[in-house]
Amino acid sequence: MALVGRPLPTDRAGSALGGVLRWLIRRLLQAAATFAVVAVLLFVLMRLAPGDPLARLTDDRPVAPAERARLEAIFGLDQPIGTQLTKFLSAAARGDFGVSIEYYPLRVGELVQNRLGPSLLLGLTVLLVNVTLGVWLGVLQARRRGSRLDRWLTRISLAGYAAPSFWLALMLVSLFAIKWRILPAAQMTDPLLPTDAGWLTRAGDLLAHLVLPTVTLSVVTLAATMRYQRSAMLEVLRLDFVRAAYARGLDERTVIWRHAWRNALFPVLTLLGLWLPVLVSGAVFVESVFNWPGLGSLAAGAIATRDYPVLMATSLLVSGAVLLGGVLTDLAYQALDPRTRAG
Amino acid sequence: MTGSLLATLLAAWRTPSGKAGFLLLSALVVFALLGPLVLPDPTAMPDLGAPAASPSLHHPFGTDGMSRDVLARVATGARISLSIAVIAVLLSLTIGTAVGLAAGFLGGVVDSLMMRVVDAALAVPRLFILLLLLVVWERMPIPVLILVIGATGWFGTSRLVRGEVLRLRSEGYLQAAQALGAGRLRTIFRHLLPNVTGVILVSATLSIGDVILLEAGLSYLGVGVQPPTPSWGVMVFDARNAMTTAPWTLFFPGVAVVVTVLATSLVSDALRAAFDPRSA
Repeated sequence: MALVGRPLPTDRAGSALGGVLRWLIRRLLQAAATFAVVAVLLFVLMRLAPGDPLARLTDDRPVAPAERARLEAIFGLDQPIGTQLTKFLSAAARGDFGVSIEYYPLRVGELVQNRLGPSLLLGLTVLLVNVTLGVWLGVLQARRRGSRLDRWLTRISLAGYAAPSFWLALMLVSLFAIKWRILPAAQMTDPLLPTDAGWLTRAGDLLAHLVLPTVTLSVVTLAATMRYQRSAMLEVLRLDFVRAAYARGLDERTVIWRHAWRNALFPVLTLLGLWLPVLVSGAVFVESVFNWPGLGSLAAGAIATRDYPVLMATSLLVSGAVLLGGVLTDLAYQALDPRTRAG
Repeated sequence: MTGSLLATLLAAWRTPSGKAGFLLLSALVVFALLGPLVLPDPTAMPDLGAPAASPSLHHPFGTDGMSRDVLARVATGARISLSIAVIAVLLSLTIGTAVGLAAGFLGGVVDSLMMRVVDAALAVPRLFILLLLLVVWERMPIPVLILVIGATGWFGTSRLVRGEVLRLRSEGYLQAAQALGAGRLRTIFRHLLPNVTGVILVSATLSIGDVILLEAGLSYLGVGVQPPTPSWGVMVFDARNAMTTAPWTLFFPGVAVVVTVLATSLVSDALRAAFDPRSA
């Protein structure tokens, strides 16, 4: 894992770094164990649910027993549940999630691989917008605590959180893409773009397609970041060293950003770990409205077509990302706050 | 204890956000209870002369492509969405509180086993757990849907309650009660439970909003409430292709969700501030 090589700022060379490495390995093992439990839980959940996993393929028609047996053999459904579980786990460990039902005979792994890039692009763009705007607004609110501005920013951001992402996406499409025709309504690139278009045109096209999905996901996730940043900042602004900085005659900008904010960053880091599940769930809806070729729309499509192997793989992938996000959050804590550093 | 709970509710009511939230929620409940009684039954009595009519005095929210009054459908949807949310949240609170109390109070192997499972369950976004359950189960009846939503929402609550119990266990009065011979059940119900109600109440109001969003989402994806039953999510799904011809059919059910979830967030905020004035 590339993370291990990441240099950690330490004041005590050697031993401290060794301590962090030991800590990191322990933490990764713990995450891996949790992930194994997740895999078992999800498998049991799938099999507990009543219903015919092959309903989509057979279209609920009566199928000749021989044909049915053949289908069950392909998807491994003819074996005892214990064997199915061990087979599923060992295959999943190798990154093999079987065959898609909808895109048969494509393998689930290939499908997922092709969708990873667009999802990451959208996710990271939203992260960038969310953190920049959320931190700035949260700090602003803390500075003007109790003012009309503070109250209205809270209300507006809560209204954004309260909006169903698919509804907001549809509303934005109907205004910006259909009514005013200023932004594209779907896909990641314009299919009519000439093949010999320069990179600038391509980048502009991609950016234009990114705008509406990014805005939708940012609006529904911004409230949490603002809230965390606001309360973290309030905690810090109460402390003596802030008053001391003001007393020394430093201007507000320096006190707020140089002194106070650096100490109010940790809670926001925690939030990033908590926030990933919200983002991926939102992405299911937003990607499907905008036809964004990512994992979210793959999952949404898998629901419509009852393609459970694909849904299983995306769920596992998402949980893995959430667990890894937790590890990264802790690692950032370790790197930034010497008090939490394991020794 | 009930006295202080009442005082907290009053304190929450006195904040401007709290008042707005409580009033909005009460208005919604009244709307859900009375609306379907007063307004014409949208499925049984479509206004056949006015398909996809824009909002007017006769149809304040307009009608949809099947000549059904959108206001009446939003009102019926309020009944369905609100009752699903309230029952599911009650269910998950009960499970979560029980698990949290048990884990925190019993400690040891029980605690670590339960919390490992909760850890794993928390790593899977709730939407995906539900989708996995619903994907092979076609046309799930609403009571089962409520059960499933409730059964997947308790992980966070159990964590929260367990944390509170661990904190309270070291408090003097609890140790005093136990030293005076209070049994396990008495300690739990008499001393622990009343002191975790605050945490539970705040998380409950927030969860109601979350479940309303979740149910709308599931219904939008076609695995929640099934048409023609008008949940808000179903209505948005139905309206997605009428964006240009009848935008009001898309607009109003979404606004209903926004108003409801916003009201629950405001109430939850006010309650949190009332329980812990420092956090405001």
